[in-house]
Amino acid sequence: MSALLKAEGLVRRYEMRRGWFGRPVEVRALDGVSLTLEHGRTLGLVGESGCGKSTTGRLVLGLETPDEGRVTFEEQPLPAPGTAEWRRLRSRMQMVYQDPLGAMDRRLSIGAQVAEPWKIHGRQTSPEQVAALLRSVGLRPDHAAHYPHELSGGQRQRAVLARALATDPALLVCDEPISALDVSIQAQVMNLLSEIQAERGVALLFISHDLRAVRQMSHRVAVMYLGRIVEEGEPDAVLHDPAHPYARALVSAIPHPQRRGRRIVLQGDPPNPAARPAGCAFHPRCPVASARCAAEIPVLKPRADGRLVACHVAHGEIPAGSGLPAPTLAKAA
Amino acid sequence: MSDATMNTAPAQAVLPPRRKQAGLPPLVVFALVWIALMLGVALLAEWITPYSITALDLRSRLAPPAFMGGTWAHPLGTDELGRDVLSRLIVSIRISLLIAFGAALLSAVIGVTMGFLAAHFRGLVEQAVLALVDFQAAMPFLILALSVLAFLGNSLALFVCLLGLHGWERYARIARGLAVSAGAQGYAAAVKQLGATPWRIYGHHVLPNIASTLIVSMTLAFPEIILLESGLSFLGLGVQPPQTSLGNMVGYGREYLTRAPWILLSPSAVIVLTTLSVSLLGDWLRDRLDPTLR
Repeated sequence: MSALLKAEGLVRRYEMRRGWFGRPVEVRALDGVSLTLEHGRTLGLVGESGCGKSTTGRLVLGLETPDEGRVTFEEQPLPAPGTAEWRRLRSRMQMVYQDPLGAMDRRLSIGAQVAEPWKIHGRQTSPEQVAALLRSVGLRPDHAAHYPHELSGGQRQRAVLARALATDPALLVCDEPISALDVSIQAQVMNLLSEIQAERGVALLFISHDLRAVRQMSHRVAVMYLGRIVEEGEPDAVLHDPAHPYARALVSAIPHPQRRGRRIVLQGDPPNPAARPAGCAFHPRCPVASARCAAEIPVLKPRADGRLVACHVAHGEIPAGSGLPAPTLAKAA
Repeated sequence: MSDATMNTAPAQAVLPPRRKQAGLPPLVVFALVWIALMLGVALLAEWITPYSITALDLRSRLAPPAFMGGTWAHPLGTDELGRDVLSRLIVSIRISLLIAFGAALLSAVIGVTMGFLAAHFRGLVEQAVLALVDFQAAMPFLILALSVLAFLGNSLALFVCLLGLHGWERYARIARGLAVSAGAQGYAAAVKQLGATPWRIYGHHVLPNIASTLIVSMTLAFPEIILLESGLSFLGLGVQPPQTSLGNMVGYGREYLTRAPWILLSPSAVIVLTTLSVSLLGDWLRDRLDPTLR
């Protein structure tokens, strides 16, 4: 089966100005991200905040155009945002938001909002269809008459999901869909997403910083650091035995009752996309970095076990170093 | 509300929430009646004026109104030329309401359109709109009005358009700010992502959502426009005699404040009551239009 979604070498730059007369600084939110997603599969995207997860989601949805690279959806390149063609394509790809209350129009009833995609794409609607759609996401048909503020957080997220599913899309980008919810509700929403995927065969791009959730949801996991994918593979493999030092630190941060005190605490500052270090972006914080890491950007390539990793050390090209002294960061900036 | 639904949860849960069907507050009823009365007077002005507004009755100049010892021939008295105050008041209400409603609507339409254009296109369009807004806000309106009226002459339509320029920058700022915040991260972005056209986003989602703010600022602008009209008329730039308006009557009646206060009192009372009614109604409308406050 051919890939539903294919992104190649996506680069997204933003210009940032410090002060009024400051020199514009280029911020590379994304620096060459490639990913593929098949029909009915889930790709989990993890990483700390600011690493470009959400930007990736916006680019593959075509909400923004990449500065370099291209996105193909069902083997067609994405049309420019705002064009009629782009608007038509919206019925095939949808988004689920982090903040369901903000994503809904508080003046319209749930029923009206859920039926809106049909209206936009010129389809007839009936209350029965709305009721069926609401039932399919676990809401009661009478919720159609409620307003968003009258629902609980989990119900709102279900309503957002119902709206996204109205036109039966092939791709659903979930941008932190559960991080605004209570833990008990998180599990419900994740189960609902899995059920919907099994029923409708929709592909999910599941963006989250919650490794637990990503592991439960995904068929593949990509770990991002500072605008690049540093490791990609099966969730069990990546999250059990991470190969990239950053992924290892990330995984060790999951609280675990038996593994007390073996957390890897990263040194140095959190990454700043405006001052990207030379070479491997992670080298200033990496406990096993050596001189080559500061000079040469490691490419994302498959290892023997089929996992994609971008690290000189993990590929065994160089022996593990003992980390580089901090000043290289300042020089690189 | 939550207590009520909790107690009867299983039975009530399947029903949609019932809206509160409270009666209208008495002040709102008063405001509605008063505005309806004013609109009726304005529409029927030609048929209900007892005299022509220019008809002089030199024998009964400065006649007091009926309730101050005058006769019922002139129920609200006469002015210094013996013109019937009631007739002039009726015609003034028509002119002033036309100007105030016309200008308030016009400035809201201009402002919201500009604000939405700025929010939608961003970039250069936004810069241009903001520059115009700053220009408008920095320019004393009287100077603008003076120059326009001096060069283009004076007509009622022109005057309404001119006052319509007053205050549009406030609507433009409000509309732009709210539309940008809705579009950056929120319902407007979500609806756009659903594939909606800009018409649908702005007309169907953003406008109803910011309507409450706009209505409040319109009810604030309404009295301002009436007072501005009075001021300009008083300077001889607005409604020209023998035509009359509420501000005009107050302005010219001022000289007879001690001898014949009725000339000035009745138009002043109408200004106060009308602006008060509009404010009350706007406040109530804002609450009614917001489903989260029901």
